[in-house]
Formats: sequence, structure tokens, C-alpha cells
Amino acid sequence: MNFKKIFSILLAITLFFALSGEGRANGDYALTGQEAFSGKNLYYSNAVYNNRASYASHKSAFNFAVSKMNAIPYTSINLYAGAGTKANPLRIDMSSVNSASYDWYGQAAYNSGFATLRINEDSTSDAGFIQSNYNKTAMHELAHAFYARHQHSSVSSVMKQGKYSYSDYTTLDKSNFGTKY
Amino acid sequence: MKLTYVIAFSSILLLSGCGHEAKVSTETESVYKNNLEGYINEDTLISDMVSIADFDVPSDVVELKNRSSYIVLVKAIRDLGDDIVNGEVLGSRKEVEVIKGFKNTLKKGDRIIIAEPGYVLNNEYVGVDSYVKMSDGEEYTLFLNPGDDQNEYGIVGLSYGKFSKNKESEVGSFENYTYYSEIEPISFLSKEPHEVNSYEKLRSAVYAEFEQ
Repeated sequence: MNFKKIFSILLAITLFFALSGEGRANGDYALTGQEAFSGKNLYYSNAVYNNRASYASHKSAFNFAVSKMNAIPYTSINLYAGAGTKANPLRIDMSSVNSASYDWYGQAAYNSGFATLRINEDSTSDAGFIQSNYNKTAMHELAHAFYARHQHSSVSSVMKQGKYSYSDYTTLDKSNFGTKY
Repeated sequence: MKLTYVIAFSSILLLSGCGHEAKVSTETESVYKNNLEGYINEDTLISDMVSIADFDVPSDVVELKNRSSYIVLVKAIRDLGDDIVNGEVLGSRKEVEVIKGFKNTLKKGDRIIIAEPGYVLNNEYVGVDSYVKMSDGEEYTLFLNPGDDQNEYGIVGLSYGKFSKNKESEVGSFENYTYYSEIEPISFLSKEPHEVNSYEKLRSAVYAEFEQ
């Protein structure tokens, strides 16, 4: 093998890593495995949730999200509805708000032991949400309760921000949850 | 004589009314003071509670302008405590004074309330998404829509609708900090580099168009 050939191969390898590095540096790539999470909750097994959303579309969306989360294969996640007990207290609370002061469609506040998920009626109705949009928002917020990070808008994932329609967690989402939980 | 009685009676009514208004103002002042005192300060810790939101991130300054009813340059004045909506704390309220209005009717000297997506819970700061609260005395360019109450406004795109010339954005997360004072100089804090990049592009475009 002559010097010219070796140089060409080395140049090709260098360019390959440089370009993939550039994409990674800008964040416009799919987060996979552990990288797709920023921590770990302590409640994923047999976690009790309370869906007290006051709008039918929100309530339905949260129930939809729970069914899809429970259906993700190869995980230990098991959410069930209830008020909680001393032994197994409430871990995830789901509710509705109706506020023009906040521009978000959904919001999740969580730590390792408890999560509060909300859907905002004012912003979602202003944006013309249909049920599949509410479903995506609910799946997105529920995934945050399990410490999932946002994905870039170019990625096929319920974890990207904004008004989208999804009928289920995507292949990427399921793969990530299967790795983590 | 009759006129004298009328004037005297009216004066008594007027003066008692003034006294009542003054009493209401004092009570309101004390409520605000209780809310304000120590609401957020250098000793406020950063909460381990993470709060993150799903919303449409503005793709460029054109979208940001189109989504906003008001665009203003303001000076932050003081905190007014928690913003409680239907019994839940969703953020906190900040009084600001308009320095310049770029879109719609808000004008220099107007004092308005901003609903900020960041609040204090048990003396610990919870920032919604990448939001760090405005600092009193600092100037900000804000993109706003009418809020829940009269004279209250919400920020379009959360952190993406608030800009400061003096503060920088940073790649990082709230959990890496202990005290609020450490994040106070930061305008936008996200662990996602692409989010910080998007914010900085917006910031450059905002200051190119809305030069003060």
C-alpha cells in the first residue's frame, strides 16, 4: 500500500469523525440509551398515579399515555391508578390548568420520588389541539417523570418540544426506556 | 344653611373614603411586603425539583414577533411573590417598568406585572425549563401576551422570549448549582447545547432589530 492510499484512508477517517463530531457538538442527533435520560426516578416499579385532570381531553390523554408507557416492552414500569397507600404512596399526579400567563402546552415538575404533570387548556386550545396532540403532550410529560430528556426537533420522538401528533412512543423512545428501565 | 350641611356632610363622606383607601393600600402593602421579604435572595437554594415544559420553541425572530402581542424594553423593579393559579403555584410575579414599547400600546413609564415561569418553593428556586428570573434593576427585552389578570403578561416561549444584553446563556443544569446567586448572572440555562445555540441566535437577531 503506497503513501497516497494511506493518506486518503486517513483523510477519509478524519473527515468522518470530524463531521459526526460536528453534529454531536450541535446536538442535532438522537439521544440514545442512558444519554436520553438525566437521572433516575425511584418509583418506576408499581408506581401509583392519580389522574385528576378536569378537562376530558386532558384526562383521556393522560390515561392514553399511561397505557402506552405500561406497554413499552422490556421495562419494569408498572403504573396503576389509585390514591396511594402508606406502603405505596402516590408518585405521579396529573392535572389540568387553564392559564393565559404561561405559554406551555404541558409541564412536568419532578424529583426522584414524585412527579406533577399538567396540561394547559388555554395554550392548547389557542393552538387548535386535537386529541392526538394532547396524547403526544401527555406522553411527553409522563416520560419526563421518568427523567427522559428532550430530543432535537429533527428526531422521531415524543420527546421533542411542540405541537405534534403521535399515536405511541416511537421506536427510539421505546428502545431508550428498554435500556434504562 | 342647607348648602353648608350638604358641603359638610359630603366632606365627611369624602374624608372617610380617603381614609378607607389609605387603609386598603397599607394592608395591600403589608401583604406584598410579606410576599416580597426574602422571596428570593442570595441565600435561596436551588431545588432538586426539576421543572420542564413542552411548548413551541420560536424558530426565529419573525415567529417570535408574530406570536407576541407586545414587545417591550423594561426595567425589573421587584418581586410580588408566587403566581397562584387555581390553587397551584405555576410561577412568580415580577413588577417591571416599561422603558420603551416596540409593539402595541405599552409605553414608557407603564408599570406592568410579568408572570415568570420560575418560583421559590420552601426557600428553594425552581426554574421552569431554562428560565432564570429577571434581576431587579436590570433591563430586559420581553415578548409578551396578555396574562390571566388585568395588567399581567406572560412571556412568549418562556425563556426564549426574555433577553438581556448583560447576561449570558450557559450550557448546564440547575442541579449543578447550590445557591440562586450562582445562576443569577445567567440569562438562559439548558443542558442541551442545541437549545443554547437556538437561544443565542434569537438573542443576536433580537438585538439587531430592537436596538435600544
